[in-house]
Amino acid sequence: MIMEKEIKKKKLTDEELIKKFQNGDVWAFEEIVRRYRDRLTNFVYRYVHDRREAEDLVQDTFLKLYQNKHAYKEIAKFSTWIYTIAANLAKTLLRKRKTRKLMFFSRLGPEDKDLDLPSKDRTTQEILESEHGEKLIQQAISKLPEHFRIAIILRDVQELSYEETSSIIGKPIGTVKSRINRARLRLQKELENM
Amino acid sequence: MKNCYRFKTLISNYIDKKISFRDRRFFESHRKNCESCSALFASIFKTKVKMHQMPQITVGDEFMTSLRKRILDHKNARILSSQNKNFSLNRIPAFAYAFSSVLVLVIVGFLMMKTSGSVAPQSQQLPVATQQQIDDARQFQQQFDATPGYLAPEQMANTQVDSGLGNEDDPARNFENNLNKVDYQKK
Repeated sequence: MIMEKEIKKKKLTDEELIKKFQNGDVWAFEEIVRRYRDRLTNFVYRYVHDRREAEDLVQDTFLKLYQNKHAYKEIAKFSTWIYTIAANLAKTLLRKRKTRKLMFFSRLGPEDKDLDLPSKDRTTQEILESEHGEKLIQQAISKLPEHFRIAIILRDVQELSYEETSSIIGKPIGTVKSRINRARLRLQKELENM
Repeated sequence: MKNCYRFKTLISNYIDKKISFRDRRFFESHRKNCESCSALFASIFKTKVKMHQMPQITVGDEFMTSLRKRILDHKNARILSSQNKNFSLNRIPAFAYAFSSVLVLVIVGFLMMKTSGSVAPQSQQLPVATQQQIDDARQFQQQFDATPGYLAPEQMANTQVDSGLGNEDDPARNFENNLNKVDYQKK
């Protein structure tokens, strides 16, 4: 009986699940959390570059969803809506972090500390193929301006469509396309400089 | 140089396969002829692939436990705050604040006007000119009453009734007198 219920729940779309949750089904909420916790944590981690903060932030996102479940109207995709909440929270965190940085002057993230940079005479392709490739990309992403960073993460890491990215960022598709192109060029430059 | 700039603006469209036939032809021919642009495209494409292949972070079961705890804490905090708030200024609706502030303003305004003398108290005397007019009218009335041959309205009524009653033989006159009496009483 429980197994049947689980299978049924897995077949439901996100929009059906949130509707169930709006009607008081707490199990639907747990299914939503199960579906989105990793995706959102990845997205936020790439954006804020701190795992603990990313997890806290995703929990905040789900808490917000729990508190404001009726705020979701079926005019947008649920995934876009929840990504927007997470993105807004992440932006707020980065703003706070900037203020903190101003106060404490310099602070290295936990991921920055134990990284040996490769020698500069290697090509970008060699760097990418090295064991540090992923860390270097992550570092290069962190160096991008915020509006480029969020666009490239949503498009290239999360592989969302231009339409979804545009709804989450709240900018027209043309702007998003241009930002992604410029972000890719800028990222390449950052990687070359490493 | 101009072609290189155009090539750079088209890289994303080409990678995402959202490029027109004409642009695609230009892009591919330029890529064959320009070594630096070709290298740039190759590295951007590789980075894009690598970005998608970056290891995915997975959260453990403690994530769910912690989230449940936070939700529960939030619920408890709400219950507690609603219990503690038997009386709170937050509960008073905004219109009540607005109404009371308007009331206070009106009272203060009235008091200020009263002290400055703009509002006339009810017991104040009439202006001199008006008082003069009233006195003149009274004097004229007294003079008129004192004139010989003039009967006051009450005296006139009595006279008419008396004369009417004394002439019982003339029913038409009697009727007219009675009518006058009734009219006067009505007045």
